Amino acid sequence: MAAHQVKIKLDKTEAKKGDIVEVKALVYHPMETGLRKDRSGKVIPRHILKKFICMVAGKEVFSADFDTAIAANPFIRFKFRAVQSGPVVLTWVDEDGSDIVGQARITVN
Amino acid sequence: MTAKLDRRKALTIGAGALTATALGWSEPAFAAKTNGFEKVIAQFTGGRTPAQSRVHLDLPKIADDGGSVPMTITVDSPMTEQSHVVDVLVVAEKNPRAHVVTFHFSPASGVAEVSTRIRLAQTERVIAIAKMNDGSVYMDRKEVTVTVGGCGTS
Repeated sequence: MAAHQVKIKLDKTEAKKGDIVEVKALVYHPMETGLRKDRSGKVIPRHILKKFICMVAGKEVFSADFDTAIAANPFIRFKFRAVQSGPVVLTWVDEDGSDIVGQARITVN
Repeated sequence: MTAKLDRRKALTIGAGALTATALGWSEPAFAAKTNGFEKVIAQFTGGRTPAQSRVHLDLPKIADDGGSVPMTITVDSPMTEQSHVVDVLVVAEKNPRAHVVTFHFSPASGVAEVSTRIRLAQTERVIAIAKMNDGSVYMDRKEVTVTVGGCGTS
């Protein structure tokens, strides 16, 4: 598959224990609905990201089940409570079986 | 004159329906009253009637581009082990597919707040339903006027 570009931004990379951290993430993906037709009238096959998961320091903090009604180049903003330092791993699961993974890091003082 | 037009229209619709049946379409677009969003909601709530509180569904009143409509959902909850939001379901009443997205929260989320961008096929209502860890359900509903539809049916 083509390489998908991921953009991840945390509102802070260092936090005190218990602080709320905001995550903004964008991934380049067509999110093809399977309802569109090309110029010759052929249906463009459905191709979407089905699932999004965020793990912080090995613990799942937030996830989402996407559907065809998520706009192309899915953007997501959510929050989590900082408990311990570790990687912030974002995974998008493609319907075609591949994963798109992006990473950031949070340091908890 | 009007009667004639009505009759012609009726015949056209009738013929269309027959064609659709012949082709084996069980849900011709012009005959289906809903996209089945009630069923999606019932499956999620387990038949409970959601109270209209605690959920704040934020959508623009008018969306010029139905292909990308910003949406924010906030649910009032302390997000503790004892009391937190588990799932939030979003459905659109007139999209080709009712299910838009389902969010999963946990006490580790800290705050039940999420934003994304959704597609709306036409002017329609969007419903967000939150399920708490005690099984109770809450909802909010917003109508969005869509100038150009965005489910790629054109």
